[in-house]
Amino acid sequence: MAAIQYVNSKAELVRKTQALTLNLTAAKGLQDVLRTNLGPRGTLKMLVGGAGQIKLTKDGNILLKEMQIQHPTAAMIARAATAQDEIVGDGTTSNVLFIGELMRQAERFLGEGVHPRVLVDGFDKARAIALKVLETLKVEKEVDRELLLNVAKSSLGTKLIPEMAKKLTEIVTDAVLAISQTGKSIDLHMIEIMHMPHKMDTDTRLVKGLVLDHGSRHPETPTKLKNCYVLCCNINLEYEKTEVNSQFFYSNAEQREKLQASERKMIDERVEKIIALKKKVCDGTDKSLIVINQKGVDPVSLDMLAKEGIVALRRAKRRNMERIPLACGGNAVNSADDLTVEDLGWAGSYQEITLGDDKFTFLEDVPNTFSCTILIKGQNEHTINQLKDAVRDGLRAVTNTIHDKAVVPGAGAFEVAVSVELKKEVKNIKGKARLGAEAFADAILIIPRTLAENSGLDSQEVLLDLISQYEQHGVPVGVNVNDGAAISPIAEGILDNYCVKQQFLQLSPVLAQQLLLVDEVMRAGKQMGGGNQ
Amino acid sequence: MFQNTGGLQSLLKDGARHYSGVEEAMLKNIEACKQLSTITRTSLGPYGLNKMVVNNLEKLFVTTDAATIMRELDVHHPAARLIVMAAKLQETEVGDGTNLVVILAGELLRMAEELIQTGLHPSDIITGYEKASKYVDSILSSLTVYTLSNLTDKTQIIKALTPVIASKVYGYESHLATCVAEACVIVTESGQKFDLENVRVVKIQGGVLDQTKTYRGMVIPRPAEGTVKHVRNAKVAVYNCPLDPQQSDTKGTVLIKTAVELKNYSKGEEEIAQKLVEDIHAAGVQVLVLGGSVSEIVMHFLELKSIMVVKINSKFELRRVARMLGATSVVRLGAPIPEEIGFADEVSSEEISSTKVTIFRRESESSKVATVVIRASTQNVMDDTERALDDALNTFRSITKDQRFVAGAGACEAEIAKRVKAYAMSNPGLDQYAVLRFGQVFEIIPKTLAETSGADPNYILPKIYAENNLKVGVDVESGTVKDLSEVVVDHLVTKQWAIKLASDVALTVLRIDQIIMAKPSGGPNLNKKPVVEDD
Repeated sequence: MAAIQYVNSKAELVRKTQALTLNLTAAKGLQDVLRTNLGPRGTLKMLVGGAGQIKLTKDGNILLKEMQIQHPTAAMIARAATAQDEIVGDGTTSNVLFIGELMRQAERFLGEGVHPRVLVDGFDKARAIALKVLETLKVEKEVDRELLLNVAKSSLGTKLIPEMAKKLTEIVTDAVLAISQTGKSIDLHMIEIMHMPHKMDTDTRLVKGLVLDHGSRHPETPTKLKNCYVLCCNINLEYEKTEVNSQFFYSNAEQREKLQASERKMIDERVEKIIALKKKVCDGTDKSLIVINQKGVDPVSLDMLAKEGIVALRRAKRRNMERIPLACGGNAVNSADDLTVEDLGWAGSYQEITLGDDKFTFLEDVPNTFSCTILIKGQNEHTINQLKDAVRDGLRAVTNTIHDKAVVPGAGAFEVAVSVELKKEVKNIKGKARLGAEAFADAILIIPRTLAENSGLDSQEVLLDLISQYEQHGVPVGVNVNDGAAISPIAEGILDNYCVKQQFLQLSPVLAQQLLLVDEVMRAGKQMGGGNQ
Repeated sequence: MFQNTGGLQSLLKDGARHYSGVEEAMLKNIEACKQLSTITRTSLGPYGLNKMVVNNLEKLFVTTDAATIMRELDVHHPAARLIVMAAKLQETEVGDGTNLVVILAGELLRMAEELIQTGLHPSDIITGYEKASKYVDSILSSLTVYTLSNLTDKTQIIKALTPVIASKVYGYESHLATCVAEACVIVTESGQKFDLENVRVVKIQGGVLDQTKTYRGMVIPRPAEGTVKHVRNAKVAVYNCPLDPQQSDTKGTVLIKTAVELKNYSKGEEEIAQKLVEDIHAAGVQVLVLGGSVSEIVMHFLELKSIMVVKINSKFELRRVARMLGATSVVRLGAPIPEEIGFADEVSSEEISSTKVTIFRRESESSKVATVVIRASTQNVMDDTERALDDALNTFRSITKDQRFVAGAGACEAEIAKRVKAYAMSNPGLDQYAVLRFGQVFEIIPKTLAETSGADPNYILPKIYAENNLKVGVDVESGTVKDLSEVVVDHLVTKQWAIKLASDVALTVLRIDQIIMAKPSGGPNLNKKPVVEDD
């Protein structure tokens, strides 16, 4: 009986080799699930939620998040991969595959009686070399649209069918370019991702302007306008309760009428001010005014505004109050007093579209594009979700490139190069640590190998071909997923993010090291023990 | 948990299921989709058979409408649900042709299954289907046999809508199509854009389908409130707020010290009500349409001034009435200003076989709103007719955007099948097989039409092909082949969407190689089966 069980008789425990086997199987199991996802020719997974919701995905991150993993080791790996996604937005599948493969390679040595500590040291040395190789391989290029398009294409191609990937590539690139202002860091929140369950996924487009997911609530307001001023405000246009508990006393109907009148007066005055502004700037021209209010607008105020032809939208999102001034110009105002023309933004066209019960408001032809909207359309929930996740990753990929000002050759070329260079360097490593470094060099080849496998190619043949090509020419070569030939990713425009690869080299080995160094797994924690079993 | 080793299953939460590979995931998915499409297949066409569906609320449906069957079936299998979603989208986008989506998707997958069993890799099938679906999309417009030239011409609209209705309520299609066409013309003749909102369908039990009639204006299934039941040339005001002394938003309490004050208080109330009614009367209003409640006292004064009062509970219905009358709904108490007042030629409360209704008529000008009153003896027939009319109206909506038609009665599908098969031969790769099958899929439509009309499905196709005319389809009445393009035409956009959606869903199902299902979450089981009693 293990010591822990004297302390806590309910404790569960596995030790030494058993503990290692536990970690190994989990890492390999997870790898098996995700390996078919990798690359542009990976397959889809269908996830069915508890309530029957359907999700179709190729994205490793989404898969790990939705899969409800319970195994402790698997959950750890999944978390590491998710962390990768949170930091750089891509590379989750590669991470899981690499961790799994590191464990698999380590298993061989462990079976021969090598101490895990030795392997761990080797991983460390190998990682340092790999990072050096990354520096030499990284291509510093001027960041232009073409480069960004290539990066976006490489990222999106692994998540969607080619036709959609092509379409979204341009959309995400242009969206990021539109909002980037020189000298300012890019805030991706300023790209709104809006979805409409409508038409086909191929109707997805970039709206250089704003799309709000609500509409005017008055039936009389026009649904289409040209040349509009936009007033973006946070003014309460509905009855406000007093903070203290208050109450009116009246003794006849006349008094009550008066009370009601004065109750409305305050709000009416604010509305009048807006109307006055509208009259000042719009009367006699073909222009109109749109009021977008973060607070509420009650039916009576709506009615007053509608009579003047003012479109009023209520309860706008907080973020939209930031985005409207960015796109339309003007200021977000908090008080109805002292409204001036300078506070107003501008939109060349306004349109309200009704889909079933939902309304969407489009503000287009805006003077600036520092905030824009990616409008995702799709025939059903799962298509939209799939696109949404892909767009998110695509945006991150483009932004990363702008930050890094560098890219790394994709299509497995980077991994092949690291492996070959490592094997050369290994000779200089003294002692047993060399074993770990060798394992590392073999493990990283999992990426090109899986790419080839998923494309239905002979993975051994392709891999050997790539290695010999690289050794001969010394330039990075990747695998062409369509026919298995060796290609130059830089010439083909298959480019990955530098920071993704960097992160990948940082995260995966560390986690594999941690898993290898575990020699006891026990379940005896206060929170963990009871309940199930 | 530490004991079980290996496999993904052990990593997941208890109760989760995991299927992967061609055998376990793909073929199972295909099987489920095939089953689903067999259900609706026999409902195709005018001679299609009805399905009786009892849903989880024990509501009974007898219909041939695939959209309804799909909706009420409560499908659980995830892949089959994809088909249901595609059908739903067809329903929302074009309104008709749901059955076509389901049948085509089912057939496409059946063909794919055969190909997989002969050893073709799913990715080859996918490329083949993609190619074929693009090809069909490109040739479809060349199959146009008829183009509607005038959207306000009733005879042309009737021609376009008759086949839509015929596939749901066969035998009454010409009368019903006339009703719908009339309604469509009414709402579009003033040049306004066609909006489904403006054509209302009201079901009143009793009578027969032939008595279905189109009204210019609105029919509200509710009698007038007071004793005034009939007004001609009426000025109408629409109020969207309760017509009684309003409460303030702040809490108010009546503070009364003496009995006199109490007496005066209710008197004051009465005076306000009286003044309100007098103001309304002075504005010349003869009919009030109310969205909110009306207090007894106000009602009393309205009666005195013989003003007709109609209450409408739904705010959308109220909006429609306002639009039809040309009125603006008033949200404050007090007399309406002249611009807010609408006009109706006649407002009357009538009884149509024991259902009391209020009819707003507006004959003189274009009324912008038309109502089709369906008459039938049973709820089921009415529901089914309503769905048919709904499909017809949706089709008209698409017609306003695109006026092209292809030959109906399976002629168009036979032609597509023929052309795709020819196209297949020009493809050198392995995907040729898939393209060929894609073509064959379309043969199911004429075949099914023949089958449901009692003819031999195997003879039909050779006969159609022999005619070598893209207008020749299946004549369900005689069970022979015939050029029916003068009477039976199908809307091009409907076909286009159906084919696109069907191939889309088939491709999606073929692209899935793993399914991971979470444990069904708890909560009350709404779909509990009723206990079947032995008898």
